[in-house]
Amino acid sequence: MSDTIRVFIVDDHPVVVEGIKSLLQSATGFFIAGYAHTGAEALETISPASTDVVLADINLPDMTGMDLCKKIKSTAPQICVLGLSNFKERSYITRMVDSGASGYLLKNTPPRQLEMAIRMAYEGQMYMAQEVMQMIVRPDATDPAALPRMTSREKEVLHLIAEGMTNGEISEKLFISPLTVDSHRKNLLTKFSARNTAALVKFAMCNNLI
Amino acid sequence: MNPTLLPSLIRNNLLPVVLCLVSFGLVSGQTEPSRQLVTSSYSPTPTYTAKDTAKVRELMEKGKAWYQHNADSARYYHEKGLALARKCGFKKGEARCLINLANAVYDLGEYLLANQLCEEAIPLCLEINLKKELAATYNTLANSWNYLGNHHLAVSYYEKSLNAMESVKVPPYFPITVTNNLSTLYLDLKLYNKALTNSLRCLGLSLAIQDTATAATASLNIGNALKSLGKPDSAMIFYQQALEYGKTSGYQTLIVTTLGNMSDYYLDRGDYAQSRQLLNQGLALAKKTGDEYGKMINLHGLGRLDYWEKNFGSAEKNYQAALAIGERLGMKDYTYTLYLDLSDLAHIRKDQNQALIYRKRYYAIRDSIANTTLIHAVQEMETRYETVKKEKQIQSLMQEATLRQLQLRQRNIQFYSATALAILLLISGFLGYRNLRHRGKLSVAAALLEGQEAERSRLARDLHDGLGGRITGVRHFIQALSGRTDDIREEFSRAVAELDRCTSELRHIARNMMPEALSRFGLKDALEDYCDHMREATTAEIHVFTSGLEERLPENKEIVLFRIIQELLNNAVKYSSASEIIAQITRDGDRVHLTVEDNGRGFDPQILHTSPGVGWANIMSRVRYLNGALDWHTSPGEGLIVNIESYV
Repeated sequence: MSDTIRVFIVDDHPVVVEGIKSLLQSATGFFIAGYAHTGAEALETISPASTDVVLADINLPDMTGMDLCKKIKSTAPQICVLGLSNFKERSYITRMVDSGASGYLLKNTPPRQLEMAIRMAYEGQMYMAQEVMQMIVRPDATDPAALPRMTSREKEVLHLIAEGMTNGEISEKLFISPLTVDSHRKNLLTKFSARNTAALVKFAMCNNLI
Repeated sequence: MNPTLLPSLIRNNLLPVVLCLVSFGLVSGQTEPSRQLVTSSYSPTPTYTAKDTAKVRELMEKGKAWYQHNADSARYYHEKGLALARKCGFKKGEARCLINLANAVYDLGEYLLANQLCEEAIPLCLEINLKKELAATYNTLANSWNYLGNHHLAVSYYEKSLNAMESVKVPPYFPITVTNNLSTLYLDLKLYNKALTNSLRCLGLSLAIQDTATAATASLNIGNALKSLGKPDSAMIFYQQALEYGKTSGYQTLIVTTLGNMSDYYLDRGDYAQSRQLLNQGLALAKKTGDEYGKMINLHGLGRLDYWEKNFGSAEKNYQAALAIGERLGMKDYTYTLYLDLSDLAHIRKDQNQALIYRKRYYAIRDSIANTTLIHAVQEMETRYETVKKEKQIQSLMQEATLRQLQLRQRNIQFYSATALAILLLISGFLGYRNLRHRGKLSVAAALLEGQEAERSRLARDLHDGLGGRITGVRHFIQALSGRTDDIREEFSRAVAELDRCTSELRHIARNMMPEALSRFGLKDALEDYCDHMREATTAEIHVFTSGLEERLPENKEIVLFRIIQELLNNAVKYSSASEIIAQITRDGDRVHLTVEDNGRGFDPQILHTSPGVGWANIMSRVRYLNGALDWHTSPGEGLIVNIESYV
């Protein structure tokens, strides 16, 4: 805690940079190592010897925060990067973490949490804002053990497959093209990770899907 | 009491969670109103005499008396009663005999026959409004389907049974028994939230009539559900309760099972001593009460504890003892896990031969269990499709007839072919012309659509990057100030909160206008993100599935597909009151399928034909833009299914 953490800010909005600067300057233990408004500028200005943590906006005019993070990590892996964004979309969060970021902050994060996040990143831990956490922890469906849901059409097709019908026969029965039937069949295989149609039918029977 | 065990297939660290399925009190219950049969013979349309009803009643009483001791004899009397009731047109009697007979054959293991009898009883009960009997029939049907391995059907019949009870006075143990069975079944299906809701309800109901035995089962079920939901501490509270109710009611087997599940809790926390103590306690109790099954699971648990503590010799002894009991009881669906554990032990002893033998046995039993399930499923399918087969026969007969007609027609065709050719030429000419005009119209619409999307995209970016950034900046400034001025702190925090609302509102607008993830990462991520946000706004379960979207589609197509699914999802969340929504986009070669389904209230399909709303018109125009085909099904109470097929 006694160390002063040197923070570099990258955001294309001067107002945001100023805001964060004034926040961190009013707190103790932080030193503003510099700032940049674009990714290229950041890569030029950041000096690995005098920077501990980079706060990087996800949306920069010339590159994404993920790209910037990857580049920083590849040249100076000891620098910790925290993603900073207005988005709490899962696609951004997971990609940012994949790029080697030490955490993901929303721009409306309260000052206390911003400070904590920077400290945690500096100590080598991962920080996720509460809201961000909720977004990534939330499972795709309420019950992880449940089987993937089938659409009504898929159910129909599965039943007919189990009856031994061919794509052509099924297509006649359901008034859809044989190619469409085949697509449904492929989707069913993907959904239930079945190797072939026989495995699909067996799986479906064992799980009372038909 | 015959606790049926449903060992979980997951072999985690210790015992499978053991569930209890309580036997049914409904069986004797529904014959109880037989005394009323005498009065029913005075109903306005008596084609049968009081003597007939008395005879039917007598046969039923006999069957009922035999039921507890010898189901076969019970069956005999109920069959006779049924024949007589049918002969004289005594419908109430017929329905009751059917149900009793179904229960008897269910006990004799003839599940398909039991189902058939129940299916016959249901329309009768509905016709003469026998609600109580209807509830009992559904319960038997559910039990039978459960045994046949169709748990989903069983669930739906248990639910029907509960529904049937709602409007009629039934003994309190009716709904309790059914709710209890339902929650056990949900546990088995790994639908833990539903299991929790039902078992909590069951606990409340059983405590109200001071049925502590059922309260004990309900508490155990609650504990198991909570444990599976990742709340072991809360689970322990209910396990403790299960123990207490178990002791009050003298329900020894349940106590043994509960002790086993509790020992798991301590094992998970690495408290081996406490875990062992509970298992020993369970074993002692099982020995005292002659509960062989309880002995087996506790020995198995002790063996696993030994294994964890590296006392391999003792582990082997405990496993073998458990195995001996299991084999004697013929509990294949439990013993096969023991073989796996024994194989592990042999492996540690470096006795590879023995390890292989055990492992082979494990696979053999596991496969045979899977096959039994398969056979049940096949039997079920056979009965279900028998009707379909008949329909098929009729169809093939019809096809033969049409074939003959076709042959006749072929002769005429030669005469007409010349004329037809001329007509064809005319039609194709007309179509070509229309298509040309149509394409003109389409390209204008397409240009409009594309322009609109480009505009939206720009607006969203401006909003998000421009305004959003500024608000955030101001917010940071204010916050930095607030640290220095204690006296106006409250005003500051209010201003900050207001700014936060602005940001989230702005984010919402920008996201709906054009999600960033769509242009950046594509349809799959955009759809998943969108559903994440929808889940914040609804209690409905939203299931997303995509496949074949790893490769990006042309951007304009992606946007249009996203708009369609966005509109459909929005409608489903806003209007359908569905509990489940499926959103799915799949690509196979150059074909893209989009499906949105809900199980909500649906509507009269006529509405869309006569007055489609703006949203629906937008969807149609977008489907046209994709050259796609749209097909949808709905009716009141049936949800809405929309399928769209288009080409990339």
